[in-house]
Amino acid sequence: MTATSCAAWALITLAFALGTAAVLWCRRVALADCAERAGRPRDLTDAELIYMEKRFDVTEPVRLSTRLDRAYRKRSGLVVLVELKTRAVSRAFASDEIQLSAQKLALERTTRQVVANHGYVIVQTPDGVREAHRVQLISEEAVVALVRRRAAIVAGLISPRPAASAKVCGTCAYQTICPYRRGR
Amino acid sequence: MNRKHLPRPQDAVSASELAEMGVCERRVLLAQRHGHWRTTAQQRAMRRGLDAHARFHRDGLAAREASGRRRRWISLTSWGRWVLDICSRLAWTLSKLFVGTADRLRPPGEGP
Repeated sequence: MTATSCAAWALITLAFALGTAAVLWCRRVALADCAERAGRPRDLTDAELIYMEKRFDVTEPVRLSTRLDRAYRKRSGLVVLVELKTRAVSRAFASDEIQLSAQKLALERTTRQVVANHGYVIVQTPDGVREAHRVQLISEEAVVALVRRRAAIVAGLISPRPAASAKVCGTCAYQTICPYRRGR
Repeated sequence: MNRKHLPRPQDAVSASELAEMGVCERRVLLAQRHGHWRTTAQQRAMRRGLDAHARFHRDGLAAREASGRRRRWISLTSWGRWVLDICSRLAWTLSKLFVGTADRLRPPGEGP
């Protein structure tokens, strides 16, 4: 074998190795992206992930401190909030609406971006399955009213309402000292 | 210090604390008076939640890195095409110039 053919074979081998490495790298990158996109609600498949575990604080109209799990920007520019929850049952609750609405208020006030009136709660059940639930958010006025009501309850100015469901009392850590426990 | 780890402003209510209002207002008051109490099951659930959140965050970071790399790759390849296009145009122009100059410098009567 001549020196020229040796050099040619070395070049071909090098090109093949480089090509294989490039294909594998592209595949890895594509897989990471695909896995994340597959876990999104269908509505957000082509949206851009803009915030993760990001904190937003506001002092006006009320003092709120929020940390959102994820926020996506759709092609229209609308920002959609996503919250992850681990639960035994795959469903969304009224508390999710409040939490996402508070995050919406803080995000809109801080960044002046338009946030959608709906968000998603991704519920992860003990078997590891994740399911997205669409949640309709409450208005900014309702969030502000809730913050003020909470402050009034804590200050002892108004009496708190009971739990929406008796099941809540069954798992509550305060049930031994709660003077308002349902069924008493 | 990262903003994420800064203490939250005094008197500020967190979104999760506010969400408790949707579960039980009485529990909000008791938590304020006695501190946050959790049953063993709730502590376990909280640990599971923290693990799931960490994984969720890692997945997000990987996806963001992947989409950033893809964008850089696309910009690199489009830039590469642009350079290749410019080089080929330059080579074509130079070769034409070179041939034209060679024709002009050739002594009269001498064939191509």
